[in-house]
Amino acid sequence: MAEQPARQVPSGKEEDAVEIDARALAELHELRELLFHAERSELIALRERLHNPRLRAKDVSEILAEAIRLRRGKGGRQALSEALAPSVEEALRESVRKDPRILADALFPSMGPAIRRAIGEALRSMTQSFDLAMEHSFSLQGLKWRFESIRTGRKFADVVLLHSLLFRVEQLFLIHKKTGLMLVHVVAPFVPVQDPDMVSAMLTAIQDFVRDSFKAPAGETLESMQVGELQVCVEQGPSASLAAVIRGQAPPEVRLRMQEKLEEAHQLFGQQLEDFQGDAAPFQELVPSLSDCFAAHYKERGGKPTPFFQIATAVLLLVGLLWATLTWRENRKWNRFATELRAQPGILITSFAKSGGRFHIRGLRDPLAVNPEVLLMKDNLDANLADFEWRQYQALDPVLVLKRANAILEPPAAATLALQNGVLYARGEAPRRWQETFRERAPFVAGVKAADISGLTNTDHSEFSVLKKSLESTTILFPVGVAEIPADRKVELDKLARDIREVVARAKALGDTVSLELVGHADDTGTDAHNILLSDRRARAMRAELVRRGIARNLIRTRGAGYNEPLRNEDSEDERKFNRSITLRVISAKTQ
Amino acid sequence: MLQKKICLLGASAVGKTSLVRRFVESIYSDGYQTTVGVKIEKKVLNAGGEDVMLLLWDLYGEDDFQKLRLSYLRGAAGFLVVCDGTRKDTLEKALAVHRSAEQEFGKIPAMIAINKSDLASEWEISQQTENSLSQDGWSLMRTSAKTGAGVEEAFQGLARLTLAK
Repeated sequence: MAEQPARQVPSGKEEDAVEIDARALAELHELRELLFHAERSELIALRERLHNPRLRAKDVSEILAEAIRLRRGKGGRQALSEALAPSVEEALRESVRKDPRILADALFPSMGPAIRRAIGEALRSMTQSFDLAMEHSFSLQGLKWRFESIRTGRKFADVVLLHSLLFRVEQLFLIHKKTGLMLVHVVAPFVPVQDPDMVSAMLTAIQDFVRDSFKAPAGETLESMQVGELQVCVEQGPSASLAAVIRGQAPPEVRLRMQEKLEEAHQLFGQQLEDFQGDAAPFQELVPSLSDCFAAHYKERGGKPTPFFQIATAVLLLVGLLWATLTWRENRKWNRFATELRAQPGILITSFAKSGGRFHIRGLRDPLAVNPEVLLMKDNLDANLADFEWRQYQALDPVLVLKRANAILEPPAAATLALQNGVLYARGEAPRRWQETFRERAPFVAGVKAADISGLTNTDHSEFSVLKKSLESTTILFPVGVAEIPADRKVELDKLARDIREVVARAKALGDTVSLELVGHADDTGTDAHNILLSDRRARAMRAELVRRGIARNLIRTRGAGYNEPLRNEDSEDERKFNRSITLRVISAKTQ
Repeated sequence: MLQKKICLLGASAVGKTSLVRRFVESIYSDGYQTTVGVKIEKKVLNAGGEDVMLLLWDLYGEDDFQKLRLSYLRGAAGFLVVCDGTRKDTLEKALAVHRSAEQEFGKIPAMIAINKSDLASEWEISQQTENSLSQDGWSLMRTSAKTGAGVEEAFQGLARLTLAK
């Protein structure tokens, strides 16, 4: 295509020159074609590759991984990280913005265990401190520690932890050996610390001081210091030393552990340690690894109590509980008894006290009041435990006044006493004689103002009639044809004589006089005259017996009735024997 | 934060301890110096826009009774050579100590603090001496532990020197 214009060059001088140039160019072109044809197409291809982004990306993609590897290998790790960091951060942010789950899922396998571990550790340490605090809260030791807690201003749980600690690594200092500058300081939770930078330097100074002072051979250093419960262990490495502050007695394993950690620090940061210029930041990476040393080891909890001890404790507890319950119940019963006693009329308690397991009760008591010992028995209390001390008095409680009146006046069975507003009423039936006594003596009973017998009826008449009837029903039987009192009836006659005397006395009391009529009887066998005679003899014999028993002769009349006043019809021998007898009649002067 | 170990050198009673007392944090009593021969103190300052923590090893001043423990100087990033402006001999002693330190540990950034600048009437160190020290490459600073003059600047200056190294 370039040849076309060369051929159409205009004529003339100037035109000739142009034509020559054009020809030369064409020839040059041709020459170039001949010489560089292959290179030219290669160049075109190369240009194409350079200018085509798609191809360039393809090229870069083929070498990218190798390039990064190379760059890292050449010590350009830092630069590479710096270059990539913004984009990676941006990419992460974008990813989280788009779908947080993707990143969360990716992190889950590593974060889950880490979080679990952290929570577990926190809970464990909390439970441990709580357990210890609880265990020691109520013991004598616990009281001592509580006092220490107040004195030092530390929390009680912390004091307990401190004392129950077997050993615990409290602080770790990774120190740059040459400068004494602190590289890493890790401290266990709740451990109070002084400025770790100064402590590191001073620890180094002390190392130097000891080495210089005692001319220690090169390489030998102060390995440990002991201050009370605290021990400072120092492990030396080529460029750094690791100092541990340990509370309690650390076993040799702790030193081994420290050596491992120190070796790890040298392995990871060997060069940095040698070139250290005061920047401790890179060494912070060691913090998690060093923190592993913070395991606290506590004293064993004094072994499990033996079953015997447990049983003994349980039995003691039970016995104690039982004793307390019984004592409480016993005391309650006694208190109830005291209350009951106080409510009793005629009893005034002035003191009620328990001492030496016995109950002492003092007061005033009316002799007629309830017997406290009876009350004790009723309440199932041991009377032997009670000491009563009573002073006697007369109570004016109506119940007791009535009781007293009954005791003094002894009313007959048919009569009752009642007290109302100080007036003693007698009701029912009573003999005249008792009524007299009542009227005279009742007002003298303490607590009685007046006596009233208006409700009382006389019982003397009825008693007389009863006695009379009883006498008149007496029949003394005789064998056939005999007029003498049979010997076996004599005892009966003694009672008869007593009753006769009684009836005479009662009649007299009623203002009457009585006499007796003894009537002799006979059965219908024999003649009338004989029977009259026989019956008369029977009555006289009877009278003689009565007179012999002290009955006045003139009181007794006798009469022989023969068979004229038979007691029974004589249908049988059994009935006939009743007619061989004596009957008795009491004759009152008033009724005659 | 960068940390630097700084040693305070000088004869006894030139006021090293007084010089730092008002400007530093310390958890140790002065008794350490006479027993262990050193007391550690800490000073955080800003030198050239960067926070630096100076760990000051306040060494017991060398005297007839106690030799300086050179081992304490190991790893120092800088020396503050302190002398008493009212006692000329203390400068010589301080420089002698510095020389032995240099022999042991090589060249380390250092600064001279001529203390007790408040006692101008008793001043014994001539301007000429100061000039010649400057010419020898020394950084000098007049300080007064009593008034506080120059103290902060002396530490600042030394911190800069250690960072510039």
